[in-house]
Amino acid sequence: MLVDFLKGSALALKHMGNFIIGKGNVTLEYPEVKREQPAFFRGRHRLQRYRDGLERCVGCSLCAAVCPSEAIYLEAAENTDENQVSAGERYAEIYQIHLLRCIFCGFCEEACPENAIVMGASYELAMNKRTDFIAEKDDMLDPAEKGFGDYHEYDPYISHVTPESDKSAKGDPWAVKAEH
Amino acid sequence: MTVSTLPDLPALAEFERVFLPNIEEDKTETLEEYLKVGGYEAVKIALAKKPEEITEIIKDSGLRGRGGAGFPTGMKWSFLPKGAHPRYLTINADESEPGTCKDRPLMEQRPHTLIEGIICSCIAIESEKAFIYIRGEYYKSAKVMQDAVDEAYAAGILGDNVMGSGKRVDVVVHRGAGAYICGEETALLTSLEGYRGYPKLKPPFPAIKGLYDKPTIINNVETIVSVGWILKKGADWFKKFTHERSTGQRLLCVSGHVKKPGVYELPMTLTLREIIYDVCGGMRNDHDLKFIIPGGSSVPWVLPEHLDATWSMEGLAAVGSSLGSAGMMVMDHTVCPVWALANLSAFYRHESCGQCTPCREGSAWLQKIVMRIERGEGEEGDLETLRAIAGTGPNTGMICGKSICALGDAAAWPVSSALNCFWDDFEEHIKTKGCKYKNKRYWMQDDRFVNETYEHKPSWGHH
Amino acid sequence: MADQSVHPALKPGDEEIKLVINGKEVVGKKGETIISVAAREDYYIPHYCWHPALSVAGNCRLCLVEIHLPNPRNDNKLAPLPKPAIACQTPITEGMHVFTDSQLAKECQEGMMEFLLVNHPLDCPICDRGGECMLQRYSMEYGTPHTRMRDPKRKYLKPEADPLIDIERNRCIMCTRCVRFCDEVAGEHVMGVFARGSDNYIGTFGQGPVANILSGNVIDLCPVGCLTSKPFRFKARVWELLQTQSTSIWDASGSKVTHWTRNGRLYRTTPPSRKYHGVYTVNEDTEEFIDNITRFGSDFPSHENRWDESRVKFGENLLPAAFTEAVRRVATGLKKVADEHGPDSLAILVSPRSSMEEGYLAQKLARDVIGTENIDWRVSFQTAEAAEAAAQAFQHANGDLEDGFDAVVVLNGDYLHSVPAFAMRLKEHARLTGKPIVQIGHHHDAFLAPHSKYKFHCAPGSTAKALQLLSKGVGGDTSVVSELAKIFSTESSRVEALITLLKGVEGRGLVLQSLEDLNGLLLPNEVPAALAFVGALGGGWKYIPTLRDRNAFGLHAVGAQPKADAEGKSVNARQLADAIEDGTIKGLLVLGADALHHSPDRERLLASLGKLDFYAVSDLFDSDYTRIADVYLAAASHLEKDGTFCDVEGNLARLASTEGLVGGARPEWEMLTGIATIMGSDNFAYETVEDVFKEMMSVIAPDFKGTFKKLLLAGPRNDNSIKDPGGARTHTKDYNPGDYRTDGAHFRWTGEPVAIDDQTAAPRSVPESGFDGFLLTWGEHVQGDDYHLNHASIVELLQKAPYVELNPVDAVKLGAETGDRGTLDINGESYEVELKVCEGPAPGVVYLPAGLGGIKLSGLTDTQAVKLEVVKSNALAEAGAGNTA
Repeated sequence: MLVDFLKGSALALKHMGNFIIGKGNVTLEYPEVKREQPAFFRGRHRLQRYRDGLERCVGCSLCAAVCPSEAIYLEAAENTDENQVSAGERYAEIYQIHLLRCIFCGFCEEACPENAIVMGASYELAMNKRTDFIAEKDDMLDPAEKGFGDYHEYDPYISHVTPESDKSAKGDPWAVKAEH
Repeated sequence: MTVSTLPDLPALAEFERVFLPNIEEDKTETLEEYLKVGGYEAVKIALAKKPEEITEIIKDSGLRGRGGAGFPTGMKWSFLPKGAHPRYLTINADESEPGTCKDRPLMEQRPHTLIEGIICSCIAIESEKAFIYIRGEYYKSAKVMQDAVDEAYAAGILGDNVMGSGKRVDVVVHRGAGAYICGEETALLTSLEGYRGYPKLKPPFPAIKGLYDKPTIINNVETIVSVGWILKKGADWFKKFTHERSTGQRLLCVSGHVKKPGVYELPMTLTLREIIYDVCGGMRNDHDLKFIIPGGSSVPWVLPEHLDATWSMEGLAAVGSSLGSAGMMVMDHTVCPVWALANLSAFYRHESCGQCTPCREGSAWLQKIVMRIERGEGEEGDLETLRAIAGTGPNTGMICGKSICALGDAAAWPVSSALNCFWDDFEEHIKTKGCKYKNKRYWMQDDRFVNETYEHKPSWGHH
Repeated sequence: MADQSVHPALKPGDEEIKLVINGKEVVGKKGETIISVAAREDYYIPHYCWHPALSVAGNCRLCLVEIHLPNPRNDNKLAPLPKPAIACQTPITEGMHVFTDSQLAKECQEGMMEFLLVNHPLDCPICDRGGECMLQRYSMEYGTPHTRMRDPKRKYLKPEADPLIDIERNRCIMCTRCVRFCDEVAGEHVMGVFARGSDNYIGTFGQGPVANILSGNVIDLCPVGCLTSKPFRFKARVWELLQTQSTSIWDASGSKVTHWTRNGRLYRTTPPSRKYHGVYTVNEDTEEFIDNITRFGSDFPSHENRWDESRVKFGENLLPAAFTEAVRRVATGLKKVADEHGPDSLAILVSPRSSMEEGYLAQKLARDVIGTENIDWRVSFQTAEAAEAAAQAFQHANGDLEDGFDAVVVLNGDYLHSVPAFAMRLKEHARLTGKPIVQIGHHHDAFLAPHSKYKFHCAPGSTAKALQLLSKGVGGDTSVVSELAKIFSTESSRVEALITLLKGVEGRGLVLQSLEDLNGLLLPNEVPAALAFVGALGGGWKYIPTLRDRNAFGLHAVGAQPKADAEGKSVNARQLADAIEDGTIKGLLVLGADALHHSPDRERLLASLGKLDFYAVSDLFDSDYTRIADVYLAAASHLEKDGTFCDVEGNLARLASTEGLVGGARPEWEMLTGIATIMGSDNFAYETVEDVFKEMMSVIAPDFKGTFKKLLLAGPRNDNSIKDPGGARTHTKDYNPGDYRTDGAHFRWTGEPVAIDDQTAAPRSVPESGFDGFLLTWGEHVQGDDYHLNHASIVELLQKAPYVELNPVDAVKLGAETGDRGTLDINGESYEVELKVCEGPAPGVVYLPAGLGGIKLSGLTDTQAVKLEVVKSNALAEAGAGNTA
């Protein structure tokens, strides 16, 4: 019986020791420490850019069409020489995602023909007001220095894209996510 | 422009040149000169006959169209609906087929033979009005023809009382604007009507519904000239030199790497070997023959192994080619077939009217690929793509037989035949990214075809 | 027996041809093409360039099919044709075997799709046509998933040609539908193909606009993303929009439309959309063309001046109030005036754009509750007599284009700019069937002129006399010929030919009369003369009066004007200003302020409104007419309410609500129901507008068979068999006009026209000499000043600059050409106008479309002598050249 007691105490002391030296923890000291997410994690949406700063989104509304919870609303507008926002003739003037409606299924990411919207790694979705849950375009856009790819490689007038050029143009979205 | 003399060949012993005999000596440009050598005799003969009799004579003579398709002329005339008037005769003098230059000497040096043929044909088809549609670049031809027509009117040969017979024949000389497509018969008609030179949908054929929606016969200059000579000399004379169903003589235009290129009047009984080595004096610098394009740029190519084929419609059809408009281009061994094809494809791309999809897009696509191979930028699979577009022969591939008019076929045939003949050369171009033929002139550039509406930068370029 | 032998697809008398399509034995009519027969038999053949409204171009080559024909030289064994043939052009022949899905046909389709995509940019996410694009659709169905194209694509600069139509040449597949539409249907050669071969492109001549009232239809006709709507550009994707089938409120052509809305906002208006080959498209294989005003002007309810709350006057201020309170105020206000001054001191004015239900309730309110005949909708006429003549014209209207015609006599008027779609259908019928159009009068329709067999110009005012003489002429009196020749200033032989033509019409004839001309000044003479003319022509002839006002016919039918025996005793729309000024009318209820705005003397009317004891108006906007009201009732717009409308041919169409009501706005039938109930009537117990409709139809057309709901599906307006000379049309599985047509949707109220006494057709006196210049004629123009159009978002693009039409004879005298500028002096006021030389007006007459560029013709009571001076365009051209340089 004493043996059992000692065994139990030893286990408790072992875990206590581990806890003190920080070994084998399953919890983190959030928010100081943040958990790294796997590449396939579907977190908060991001709108990506090209290397030169242009937005990838052309406002085609396919994400809105595919969204099962109708969380995406967008209105498009036309690029002008003075105001070149995206790589095509069209860009999303208003791009909103209602995060309370969103079920994070990732369909928008799959539907996107321009690799513009991706599900990011951020899982911090607490807000103070309900209106804050409507993510505007500026809330989701990547900073310009995070852009990748060259829109010329997406020129619709060049139809032949080899597998090599295709890969380099699209980059590796998973790799980008790991940087986040 | 001279018409070359013929050598003394046994096969030509009894052959008589009539279209352009001894052009230097016999000046027959004016009516006076032409009447001296028996001009307008054919009209008198025609006026004495009934229209059906003339058509029968032409049918009997076996005359086939000289423009390229080789359709029997008498049969074409008999397609006219009975009793439908007015009807028109239109002379296709829009001689634009590369390598062909036979109508030009006929019009410039003996214009009255054409007028004579027109009057005979008009009597035969009971038409009172004929149009001569002359290629835009043929300024002199048009001028000479117009002068001749004016002369004929003044002499009472044309007009409301043709040579005192009471019949009426009017001739209008019209200059085109220099588009190859307007040599296609229905495009010629739309152009003549004052519209964009687009080929019309067939059926209805022009013999039923042609110029201004009226029955119309369209014949080549040489065909109509032949009509006059057949009436003058008889159908049997015309049939004296005959190979299968190819009767009579016709003008052969030889260009390329022979010692004596030129326009020859020949019966269709000689072999290609006789023509190149006897009539034209052999290859230049005694080079090897590489290939022949025997009937204007759109017909399939002929290799040296077929040199013994007879130069006639049937003879060339037997070796997979066509007599076409009898514009023979001869190439020696210094010619890169890819370069030659790129040249031809560029021509067809430039001359496609753009009306129907397969020809508009196909001719340009073919040209882009061939030009790329020629530049040494060919890729694996290009030849298969060319094959798929151009096909392997008539009515195969994506263009042949699917376009409104024959220009689509004409753009595809050289490609398919070049691939048939010189597949290895094309493969070598792609594999070695270059060309082993040294003496090429790189005058062909893509931007030769660039339209001013093209934009060379991406339209949303922000740089 | 005879009926059994006729195939359902054929009419008796058609020559029957048996053929085999994909192994199935089918029957067609001689002259039909393969594509028509195949579509009828559910074998769909893809096509781009072919369109039933247009001539066959045969240039897309997508409809190539394999054909086997029996060879008579070989015991009628089947022999394949050496080449595939295009189904859109190849007529069917006996014993023909057609294969639409054979190996060869499939190869052709795949080949053409690959060719079309060789130079087509693959940017469907950007393209506005995405979702309704036939290139997308066919690529999925008939194309290959891969391309072998490895070279750069061709690319064009983008032209800035038309303010309404975006031209993106890179996406063009050169089907030339737009070019053929402009040439053939719209009648203006403004678009063309430029350059040659693979470099060719679509454009407008001189980079100019497709300036044409029907130009917007090329947007629908374009099967790809080359021609798209500029106002709709990138605003929304088509699959996001809610489609509502409704009808136009702009003109009495009665165009059916689809409103495309989202979140209560109207994004675009098109002809009816149909599910076609899996996607919703517009005018793919149908030909329901609409005018640009209907297409681009229908979004006026979202104007910033919209007042969607009812308002009631408190002291000096018009303050928002509940709908019920506003209605109560109106009821008590009207009742008070009636009690003090008698029921005939009240008047109700109904907008001609009100629905039939509203008109019916308004007249019920006036007659049954108030007890007065002072109700009217005929606001746009110049005189009271004209309004009465118009009523007479409507009373005898009985014609219909739907059944076709063998000859049509067109009297004075600019039909294209008054009832555009109707004029277009009339012209198309004449063009395709070769049936003659005869134009008579001092002003011909220039749009119809190229297809008019006979054109007889006469002096203003002598049309009635000419018709009277013609009536005698067709009755066999040959003595009138010389006098007619004098009136028409032409040879007797042409007049005789005309009389022979008119007498020779055995089937259906039509007489068209525009009630717009000179604001109806001459109608008191011309309407009786025209009716007598129709009577003299006899049995098969019918009469159609046209008026731009959308629901003129419907409101006439429900009796929203004084009864014929009360005309003169009651106050009609034209007498209203006088009656208010002399104190006869003390209270006024206006349904739709456009009724006031479109009055020829609107300034005087507006000034007189202040003298009223009580003035209530129901309307949409904050405007001069509503700000001074005692009660403003916020009305539902044409996008928000339901109702029934009737067009010039007597066809009913249903206006449908898109996404319900906005703010506090209510449909007018609810207001009228409320007012009547509060005023003490218990006959206004309507739950829905359908109840009103049922009661109305039981009163005006007891034998009406249709229902309110079915009206929404009533047949496509512009589509029927009249344009079937060669049988070159078909309808796909998804679209069959027979399914939508309701017999009851078509009805008439009166019988045959009656002969009118000759004396009524006395010629009106016109100044024959003693004036210097031209005689002026005018008419309303759909692109002019319009109360609703003024509130449309792109009104400045839709309204036209002022122009005058001038006869070529006069143009030669003046040395003027189309495009020159000129100054027109009317009553001492000078206006700058553009000159348009055309066959429209008679020599010595100029035609001025009223309302363009703010030109007011309110003071004119007769044809007027005006001066026209020409400013040559050279000076302008130089100025223009300077600008572009």
